[in-house]
Amino acid sequence: MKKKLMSILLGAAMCMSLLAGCGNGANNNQTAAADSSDSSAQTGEEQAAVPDAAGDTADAQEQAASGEKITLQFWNVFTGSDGDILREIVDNYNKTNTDNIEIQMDIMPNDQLQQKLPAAIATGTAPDFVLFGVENLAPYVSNDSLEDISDFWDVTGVDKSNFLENVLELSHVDGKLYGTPMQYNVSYLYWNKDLFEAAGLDPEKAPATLEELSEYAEKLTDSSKNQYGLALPTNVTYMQFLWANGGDADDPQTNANLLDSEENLETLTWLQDLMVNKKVSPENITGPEADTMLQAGQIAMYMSGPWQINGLREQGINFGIAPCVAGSAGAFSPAGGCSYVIPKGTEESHKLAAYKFMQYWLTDDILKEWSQRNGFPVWSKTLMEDPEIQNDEVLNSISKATEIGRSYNLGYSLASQIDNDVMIPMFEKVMTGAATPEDALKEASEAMDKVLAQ
Amino acid sequence: MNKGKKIKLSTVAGVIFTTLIAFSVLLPILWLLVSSFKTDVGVIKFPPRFFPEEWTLHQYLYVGDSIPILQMTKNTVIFAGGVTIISLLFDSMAGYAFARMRFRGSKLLFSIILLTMMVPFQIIMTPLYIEVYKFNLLDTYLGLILPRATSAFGIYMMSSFFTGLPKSLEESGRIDGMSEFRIFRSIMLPLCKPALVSLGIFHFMNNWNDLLYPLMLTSSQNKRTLSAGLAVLVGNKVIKYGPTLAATMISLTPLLILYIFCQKYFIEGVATAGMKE
Amino acid sequence: MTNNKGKRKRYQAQNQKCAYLFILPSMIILSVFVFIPLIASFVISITDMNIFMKDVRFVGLKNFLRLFEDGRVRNATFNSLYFTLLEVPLQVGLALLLTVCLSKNNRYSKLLRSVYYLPFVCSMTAIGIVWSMLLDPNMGLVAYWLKQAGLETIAFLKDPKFAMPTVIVVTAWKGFGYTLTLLAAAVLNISQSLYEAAQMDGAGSFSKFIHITVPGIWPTISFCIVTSTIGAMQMFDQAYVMTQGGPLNKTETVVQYIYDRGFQTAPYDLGYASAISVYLFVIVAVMTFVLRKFILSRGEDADE
Repeated sequence: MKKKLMSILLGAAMCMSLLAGCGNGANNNQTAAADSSDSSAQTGEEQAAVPDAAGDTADAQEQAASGEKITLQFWNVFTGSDGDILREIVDNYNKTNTDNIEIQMDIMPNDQLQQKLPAAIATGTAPDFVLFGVENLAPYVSNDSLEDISDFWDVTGVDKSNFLENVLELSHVDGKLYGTPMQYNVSYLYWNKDLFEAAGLDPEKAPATLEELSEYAEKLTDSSKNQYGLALPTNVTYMQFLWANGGDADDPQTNANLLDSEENLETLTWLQDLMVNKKVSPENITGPEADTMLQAGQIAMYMSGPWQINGLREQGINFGIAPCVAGSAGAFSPAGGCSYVIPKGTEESHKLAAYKFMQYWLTDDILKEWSQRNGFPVWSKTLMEDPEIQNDEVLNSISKATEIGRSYNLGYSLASQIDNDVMIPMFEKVMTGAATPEDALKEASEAMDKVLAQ
Repeated sequence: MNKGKKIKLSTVAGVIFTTLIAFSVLLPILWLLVSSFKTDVGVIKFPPRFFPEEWTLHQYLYVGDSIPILQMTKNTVIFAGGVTIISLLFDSMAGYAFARMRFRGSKLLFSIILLTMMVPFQIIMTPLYIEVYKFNLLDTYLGLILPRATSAFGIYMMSSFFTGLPKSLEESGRIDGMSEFRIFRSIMLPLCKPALVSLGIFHFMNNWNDLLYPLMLTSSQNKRTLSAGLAVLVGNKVIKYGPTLAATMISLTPLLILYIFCQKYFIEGVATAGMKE
Repeated sequence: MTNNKGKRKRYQAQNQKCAYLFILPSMIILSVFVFIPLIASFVISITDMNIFMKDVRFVGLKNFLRLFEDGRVRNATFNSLYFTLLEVPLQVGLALLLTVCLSKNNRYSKLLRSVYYLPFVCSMTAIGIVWSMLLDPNMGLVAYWLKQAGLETIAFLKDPKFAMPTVIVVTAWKGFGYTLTLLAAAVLNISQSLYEAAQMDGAGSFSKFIHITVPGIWPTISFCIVTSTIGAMQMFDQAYVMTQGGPLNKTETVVQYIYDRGFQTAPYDLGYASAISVYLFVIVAVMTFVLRKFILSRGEDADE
């Protein structure tokens, strides 16, 4: 009995997989073939849909006239709740666009996307367009794996001058445009107003200088309640602190190593004192853990991007947003963002269709929806005039805090190596007390020389 | 006679020890189960509570809204089920040959097969992707199943098991004039039912839970497996623990149910194999 | 006599052909989907290829020379060995101990055996998430309970000293149930008559364990040790989920470093990553060879 069942199952499984293999093999044969079969399937759907939308016959005719349906494959890294909002916008685009474009989006974690995409580009199986963080641009560009889309403004007629220069700059490598901006952000200082009040501090006033930051952090730390004044995760870099005192890591233009400086030593000494002696932050935490503790009200201050806002709102935390604190040289914050890019090998008609969607994204309506629902700063000049935007309290403080944005190795092909092999280990050693600031800085500077020598 | 009456100290210690271990196993899993019913606030609340103060289905509904769970479950069943069935057959055949047959090069081949166990997936990932692409099998069920249709681990395990069976078994078959395949099918396979079930569960689970492999070889959401699909919920910059726990529970539940059913058969299988001798 | 010999010869030739047929499907699949990619990665290790696979140049042994000067390779090798040498004995030893405790095939034993199997059903990702939440020194239940009980808490995964031991215990926690079921199945296959004979010779339970149980299940024990050693040397998921190799690279294993070089840190140096994996491959192959040849050969020799 069992054996019989087994052999039947086995046979069935083999047949099924073979069938599935055949069907899909044909589909995958060539992107073009896949598209045509896809589009035939879709035409079927459309025809079925026509009777429903009886009033829209004109529309339907227009669609038919504008040619075949174009299906775009779209990969992105928007896992989590902002991905839900993105999906809504894309779904809505699919329903309303008059160019017969259908976008099929596939979300995957950033790590996996970075593993898959290069192999997919090399084998010609890459999606038509991709959305990822601008810090990933440089290695793709230096390996000739992205389309140069410098003609985007001319082709679509989108007014380039309506967007902030520094935001557009993030999508450029060596003066050429490789992506259109999707969102833009810097790191902000979040603070929990209730904890400030409980500690006897003015709940409406965030620290503005490095000294104030450490002073407040000490006051806000209460280990008996498992409450910390400031969260400083150890798996990230703290350029805002180095810059505040006039230090820096490297100069991407000249390949110069700028680590070994008095300013940096001063900053690192201050940081070690804050972490090791004053113990204002939980030890060895990661970013997501710090997020969670902030949401649970166990952390009074934390520096992070706009993606915190929705979580904090949901957890009912009474919070404020301020710019990163200043040192002797001023206040700065590392800038980042996400861009739509087109992998090398995307055929022309699909590239143009992707342009259409990018153009759609750059309309004020969409940018407004994205900013309002996610708390990302506005970078369209006409949108800044919008009264609703001007009256949005969170967006206002965000915009103010965004002014101090500064590029940290963006577009530099060694950026990720500098981070992973030099900066993060240096900060980790300083913050855990595993090395003195002098030794950590010396070691990091040597490691930096090695990386820059490549 | 004596034995029944006096309860030995070692027996008591054994019971206490085994029970303690059982608790250490059950508590975290129970915690996962109840925590998936916590609210967003409840799951990260400090001080932490074991049981939710307020039970909610919110996390499950959220997961259901974000992901085509049914489609992904179907994909996973086809993928994990297909791999399990095919590789059970191939593994046991090869394992049998290595354990009970003498042929030229068997030692060498067996060592080579063992060597393949030592290859971390991360390193063959990129060449494998290109290969599957060349076969035109990217994003197909066959492309997912075929590279996994046999495993060095399975061959090794089955051969270990066959080695342990008494020598006399196939001799009697040969005397009866059975073909090698008949001997394998009618005498050997029934005897290794427990090993087969245990290997089957092993394969099924591994493939069910695998993340990187199916994510690499599928390029659209409608071929994605459950665990790879659920990875999407763990945010890129922020982790939402509530949905993460619910998603973990969702991917776990079918396996748990299967295990509860299989486990009965499993233990029966073990017992009958023991009695056969 | 001659007739008999000829028969046997013919029979053996047929047997040989049969054997090849039996292993054919597995060999084809393994060759195509494991060997070819493996050879590809050997070839990649002597090039400067990155994951974009463009402008590949032959660089000879440069990647291997670089490997021996890389402190992180040394650190990762140490961590992998540390993990393996503690995790495997812990997992197999615990399973063996529990096999003895649960050797009677009664309802209680069956129930506990299936309970122990439970963590094995869960994915390492799930286990990793659950344990890192429970063990979190600031938010986690375990730390909180220890504190409530007035005990000194340690930071588990956050402490450079305790991170690796914690990962080891969690891994053994997940895997011992599986090892246990394999061992238990083997124990039940030992002929009852052997025990009865020993009983008559007046052997105690410890001596029965050493002289009957262990030799009887030796192929299975050896299997468990070899496979979990190989698995442990390739440890990746646990640390990837729970520690990301930290704190201070104390849990960074060789596979994690391979992953970091090949896929996480631009310029995504596949050549170098492949060189490290060839290095790992050699280590594991040597370890397995030594294990099978000198330590575990007992049962197999007896068999031949």
